[in-house]
Amino acid sequence: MPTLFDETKFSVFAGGKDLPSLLNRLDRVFLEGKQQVQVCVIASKRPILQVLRDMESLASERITLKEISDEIPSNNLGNVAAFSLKRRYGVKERKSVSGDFLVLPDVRGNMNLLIFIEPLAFWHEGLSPLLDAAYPRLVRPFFTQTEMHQFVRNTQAALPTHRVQVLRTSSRERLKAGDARKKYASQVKWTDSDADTVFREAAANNEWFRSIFFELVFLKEGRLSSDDTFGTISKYGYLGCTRRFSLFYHSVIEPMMDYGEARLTFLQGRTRTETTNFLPKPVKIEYPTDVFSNVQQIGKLLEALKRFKHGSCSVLHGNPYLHVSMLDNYDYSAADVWVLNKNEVLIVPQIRTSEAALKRIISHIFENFREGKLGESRA
Amino acid sequence: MASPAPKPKYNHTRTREDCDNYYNTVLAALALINVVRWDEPGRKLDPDSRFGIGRRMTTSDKNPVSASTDITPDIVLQRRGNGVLGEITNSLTEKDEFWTEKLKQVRKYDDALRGWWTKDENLPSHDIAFIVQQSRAVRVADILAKEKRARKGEIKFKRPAAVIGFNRHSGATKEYVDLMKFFGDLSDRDLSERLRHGIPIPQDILLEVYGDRKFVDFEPPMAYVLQLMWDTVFPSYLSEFPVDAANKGRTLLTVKVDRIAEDMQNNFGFKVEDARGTEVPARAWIKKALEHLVIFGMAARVDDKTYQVQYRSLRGDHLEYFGGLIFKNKGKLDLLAAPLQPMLPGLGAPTAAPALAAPSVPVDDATKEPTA
Repeated sequence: MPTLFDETKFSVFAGGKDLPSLLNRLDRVFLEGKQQVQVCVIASKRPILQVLRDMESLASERITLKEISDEIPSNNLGNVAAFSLKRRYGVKERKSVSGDFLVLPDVRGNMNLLIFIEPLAFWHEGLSPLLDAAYPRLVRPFFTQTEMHQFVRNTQAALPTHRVQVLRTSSRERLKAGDARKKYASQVKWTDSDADTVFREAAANNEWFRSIFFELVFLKEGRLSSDDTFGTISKYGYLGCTRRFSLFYHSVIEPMMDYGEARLTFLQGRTRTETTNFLPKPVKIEYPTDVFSNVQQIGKLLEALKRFKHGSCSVLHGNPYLHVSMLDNYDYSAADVWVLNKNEVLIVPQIRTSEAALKRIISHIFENFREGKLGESRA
Repeated sequence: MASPAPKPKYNHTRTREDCDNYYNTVLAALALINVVRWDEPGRKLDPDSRFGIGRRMTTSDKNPVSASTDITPDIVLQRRGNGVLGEITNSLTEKDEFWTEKLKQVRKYDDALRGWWTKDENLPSHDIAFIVQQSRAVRVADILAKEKRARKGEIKFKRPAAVIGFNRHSGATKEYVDLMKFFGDLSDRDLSERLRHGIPIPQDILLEVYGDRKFVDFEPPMAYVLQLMWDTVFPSYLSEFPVDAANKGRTLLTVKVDRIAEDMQNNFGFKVEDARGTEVPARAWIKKALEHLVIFGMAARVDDKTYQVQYRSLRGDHLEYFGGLIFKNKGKLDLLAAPLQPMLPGLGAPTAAPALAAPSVPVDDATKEPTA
């Protein structure tokens, strides 16, 4: 039971919504049952509230989205709003999840935050599918393995008396065996190691994490003791935690918004126009080694590109160099993908290419081939 | 009873090879432009150099092949008062007769042509570069050498002429387009000598300097045009047309041939910069591609210049999709391309099929033959 000094989900939603007081209340919130304080970072070029209100008016049989109108105004975060969502799912067995979420628009540039205090199922079966369905109006960022590691390092640096002990990783691993029918193995691994070791081992094993589940621990009488703070960080801009929300806000959420905004800014404005004489503005993914000196790697990249979901991949040349035309069926953005150098993939935007689609293609290459360093192409 | 002949199957490898060969010619053209524009001592491109793809040049009344008419060499280059005409042939045929005939046609460039970027459109002289796949360069060079030795040889050039082979190769770190001279000389001795040793041009540099060029001045395989239109041009119009649920996932795009041609020229080809410029890609190819879509049931002709395309997501590889449709509808497409039979007396003269009629540009261009 919450004490008089504890906040509840309802008081968090009802109180003033300036960021410091919101963080303060979220630090003191009493979580019932399987509830966690969860945040999703999401990008939107249009005002996110307008996007959500549009979705509200297009309610379907499966999804009920409703703005909670008894809002307390006055805040310095712009138009903070609350929504309730009910989503029905399942074919054989009809199930449903419901919950409420706060929307903090434009916290950093085009980056918005959705905050909710619900069981994890609300995220997995309710809000996350809703956001995916809103692509490309709402775009979830992606983070590289290095950036994921940085979030954890930030957390450790912010709380030097504690350390981040990773308990579970959800990862993908490239299969090296030539006769493997699948190119990747997905696995959930339970562990109990410090974060630096886990990330180092992942790099050595060609693994990359989709999410990590961790606990904050501290040394007490020579033994590691739990702080009762558990958290999850996902590659796609999600954080869930059981305590110390403001710590994670500064060490994880703020850098997520910074990275996400920087990436979005980098990828936007690449549609060809008359002012730039219709010249393409390619981006490159650079690798530290000459990955493509092995022709098999070109084949692997091609196989990965052919698996681009909700899009198409037309092969113009497959070997020894690669040239394919990618089309995103969500917003019909097109880009050519080339391998002309042994250590880089070149992505050439076509007549109209949105930053969301470029992000999706790059994220697909990172996840299904390998991560590299994103940069401007200069021959 | 003899069993019926097996039904021929669509061979996508062939389509892809054709498209690749076509793109190779684009690269060869850009590579030649780049090496001629390159100022070796200054180590940079000469900003004052000029070039045109398929530029219309006027022959003199003494031209041995086509007198007093317009011809369109694949590449026309001009740098510091020197002109170079480049003709690309991507054929892999080993028949000497084919090459001999090609070379005879190229003789029309050995003339005091008008159309250069000078006040009177004349240059004192120019070079002729015959560009072929490297694997055929020796064969072509041998023919020219033999003709040169022969007292009554038919293929002799008064102006500097060279056979240049092009080839793509994977280097240690990059993909390159190589140009190598196999016969003759260019008037720029330094360039000529460097070409004799071979000049590798990184493909990524061509992309950066010249943009995303995908066309030269002869017609590409139709699957290539259709894939490009479907994947890049039509989607750029989608926001202008409402999505109607009644159309079952299709968006009806009303498109103009002129607009598509202009967009493709701006983004993937070459714009007309003066009266002698040629549109690349040509409007006729765009119209032909749209007529293909009509036959495939993916578009309807509204009028001579307007079509309504039923745009939708396609599964799989779109080059293969359109290649397959072209193969499947070959009979109908052949009918469309064929000249109409004479009508009954008194009922008027036959006309060419509207969509596949030849482009209206009055050129004499027997050399425009991309593949054999």
